Amino acid sequence: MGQSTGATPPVPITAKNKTMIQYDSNNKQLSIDNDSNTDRLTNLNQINKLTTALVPETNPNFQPQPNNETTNMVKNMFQSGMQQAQNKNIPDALRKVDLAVDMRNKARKPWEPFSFQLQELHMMLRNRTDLELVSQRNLDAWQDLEMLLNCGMVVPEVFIRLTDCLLKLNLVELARPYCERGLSLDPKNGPLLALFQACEKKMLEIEGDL
Amino acid sequence: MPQNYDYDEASTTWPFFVLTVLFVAVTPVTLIELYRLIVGDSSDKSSSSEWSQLHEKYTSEEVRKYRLANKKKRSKKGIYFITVGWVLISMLIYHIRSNDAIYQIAAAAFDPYELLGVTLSSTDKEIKSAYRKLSVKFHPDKLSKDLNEIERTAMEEQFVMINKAYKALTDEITKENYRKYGHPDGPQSTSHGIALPKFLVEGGTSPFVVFAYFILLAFVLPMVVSKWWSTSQEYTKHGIHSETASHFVDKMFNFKPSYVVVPDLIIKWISEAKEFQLKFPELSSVDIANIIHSHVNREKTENEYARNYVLTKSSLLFHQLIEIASTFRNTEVALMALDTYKTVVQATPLSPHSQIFQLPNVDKEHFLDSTTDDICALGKLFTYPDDKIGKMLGIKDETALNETLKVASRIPKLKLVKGSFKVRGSSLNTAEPGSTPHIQVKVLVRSPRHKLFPNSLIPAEKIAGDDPLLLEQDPFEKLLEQPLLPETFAPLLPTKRRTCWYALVVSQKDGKIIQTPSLAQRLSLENLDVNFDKRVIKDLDKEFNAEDWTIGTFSIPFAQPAPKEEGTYFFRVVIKSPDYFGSDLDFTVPLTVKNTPIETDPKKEILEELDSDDSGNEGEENTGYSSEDFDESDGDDLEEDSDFTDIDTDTEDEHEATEETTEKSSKTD
Repeated sequence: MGQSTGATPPVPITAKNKTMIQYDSNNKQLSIDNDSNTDRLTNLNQINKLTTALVPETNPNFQPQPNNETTNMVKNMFQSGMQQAQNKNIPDALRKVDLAVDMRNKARKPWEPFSFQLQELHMMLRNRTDLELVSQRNLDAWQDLEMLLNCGMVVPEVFIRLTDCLLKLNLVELARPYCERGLSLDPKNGPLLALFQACEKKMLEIEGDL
Repeated sequence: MPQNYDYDEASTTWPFFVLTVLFVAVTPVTLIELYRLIVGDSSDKSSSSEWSQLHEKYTSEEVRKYRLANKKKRSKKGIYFITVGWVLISMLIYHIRSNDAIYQIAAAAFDPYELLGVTLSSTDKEIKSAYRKLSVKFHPDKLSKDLNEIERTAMEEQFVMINKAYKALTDEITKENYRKYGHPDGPQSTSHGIALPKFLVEGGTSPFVVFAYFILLAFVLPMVVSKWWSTSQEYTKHGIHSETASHFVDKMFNFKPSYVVVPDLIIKWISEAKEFQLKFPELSSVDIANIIHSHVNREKTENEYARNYVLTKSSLLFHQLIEIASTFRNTEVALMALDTYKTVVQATPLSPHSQIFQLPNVDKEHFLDSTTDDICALGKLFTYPDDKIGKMLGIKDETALNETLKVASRIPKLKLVKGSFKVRGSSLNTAEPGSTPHIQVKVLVRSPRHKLFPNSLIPAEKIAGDDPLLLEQDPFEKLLEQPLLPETFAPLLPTKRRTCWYALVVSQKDGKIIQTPSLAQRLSLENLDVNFDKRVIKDLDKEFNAEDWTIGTFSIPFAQPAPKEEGTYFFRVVIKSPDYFGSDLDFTVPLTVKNTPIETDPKKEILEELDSDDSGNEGEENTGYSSEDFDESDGDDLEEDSDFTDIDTDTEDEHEATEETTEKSSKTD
């Protein structure tokens, strides 16, 4: 068998496979017939999105760089939000930060370096969660904090906020593991220890053992 | 090769051949059936217990019929096989006994002991004297003259045989010949033949024999082999269809963090299993999902006929999904699969009130309408008097209420006493780099009805449990000393099941599962019988009797060696029951990796360890965070440490929490 040569031959598309991927040479888009597999559709959509963004690029020495214009736009929107926050106008501040996050999603080209985008996202999400926590939008805050965790931001501060927000949502059974995970990162973290005690107390209360 | 074959004309060979084959097949099946009979009896014994009777009472007629039919179907097949097998064996034995030809052959065989009339245990002296006596009797010179020619020859032959027999038992070479070839003269001629009577092979029936061989070799054998091969290919060694397994793997491989993992998603994956497509080709995966949903919501469904099969199979599918999710290190899916498993076992949807709704006789709407207090846990329920509980749950009948409370009070709750890493043969609480530790979890099983007491009331010897002299003992072997867990109260499930716990180990560093879950099926639940009602006990210290309580142990294997570098590593251990809501345990265990100091006295170490356990505050010692570490001023540091820029809004909350707890602790002091 000639498998040792490395590259595996592409799987031939036969009538048995049924689903056929079609390529439109005019708009450079891929499409798929008779397929309801959501994973495959998602993957295809991602490829299409990337192609659409790449097609109008004219620079022959193309090197992905963060777009300065977008960066400034997002930054300005975000900072004006922060200014509102300093003026204690929390709802407006939140609206502006929301807009900044949305803007980042839409205006950034998909090939712009992700490490830069990630930093930007971390900063904005951290501030957004704080604003959400202040304005008692705990569910939104929970979602953003989970997002931060998934984006690799595993620091005690995130766990402090997660525990706090889940305790406010009365979800102590979910809060406690997060609190313990935070304490694993920093066993002497004061706020986390305090929250841990609060979790324990709340657990006893729920179980009718207090 | 001989040109002519000998046939088994006198039927002297084939009965033995068939008998051997029959014994090989029938004996193991008989033993298995006998074992089942005995074990089945013991399970019947337990069914006479109050708990099983209660379970039986709430089981619907339909489910009971299904269980019975399943049991019968399984046992009948074996019994038919055994009966036919033993009838054939007895017929063969009868045939052998009534066949003179076999006796003749047996008589012709050379047996020196029989010839000399001695036994196997006879001494050389006895053999010699027996030979002397016989040789005097049969010696050709000593024979009487009256004998005719035939008798004389027979006697002479007998004399030769006696001589041979004597030699076979005394002379070295002859003895060796007899031992090796069964005859004093050395190897005898052997004949090869066909163990079939001649008439079958050469008579008019021969075409049938050839045809039978043809069928056997051309059809039966290939069919059996291909069936065995295809099942071994189609099903994984865990018993699920390989397409189902690859479906689960595919789901995990393509898992995206954006997925919302809820019971519906898990049930959707389960319902897409190949097993269901094969059994019910007319039902789509949506239909199967609907069947599971209707069971969970305790509703009727259009496809009622498929329900029992779907639910029975789903148990195995859940187990496999949990294993596959663990292999992919996906904590979220593994935990949700376990929760969904619970909803199916208890036929109770996942909700904040699942613990209450899993009980029998509960009127859900009445409960949600009538209570102003938020009661989510069974423990909370038992803070109220019995009649009040009846009113809240909407149970008017007194027997029904008693039965509901009986079930509620027998749902085991686990209280963590101590969770730690242990290395076999070492009394230390630390592990050496590269050693193989396991996680030892000491738990107190208690009823939701019981009053909570601090771990400090439990005598230290009870917690330590193991004798320092027995440190070398295999921790997993030791688990076998604990009794098997009883039947789960799940009357709506078509199969009876034993209670068990899954133990998942998650690395706190990345929040991912590090090994496949281990299953605990043994734990003593005798604590549930202790009378320690939280509504009755007033003075905890006076009324507490440590003798009443037993401490259970979970030993969880740790699939990797301790890290090479010294330091403390944290692992989250989730002990989750697939049977009941409210029986779970979730805690963090630190693994301290440290090179062993040179001089240690194991006994002294143990004593120190016990002392420190006593002084610890309960709840904190479990996780390794002590209150001494907690300093109020730390709260202020947050502002500086935090990466959060411009504003840090929730420091107020932290301060509140801090103050609150310090207030609390000062109050309790």
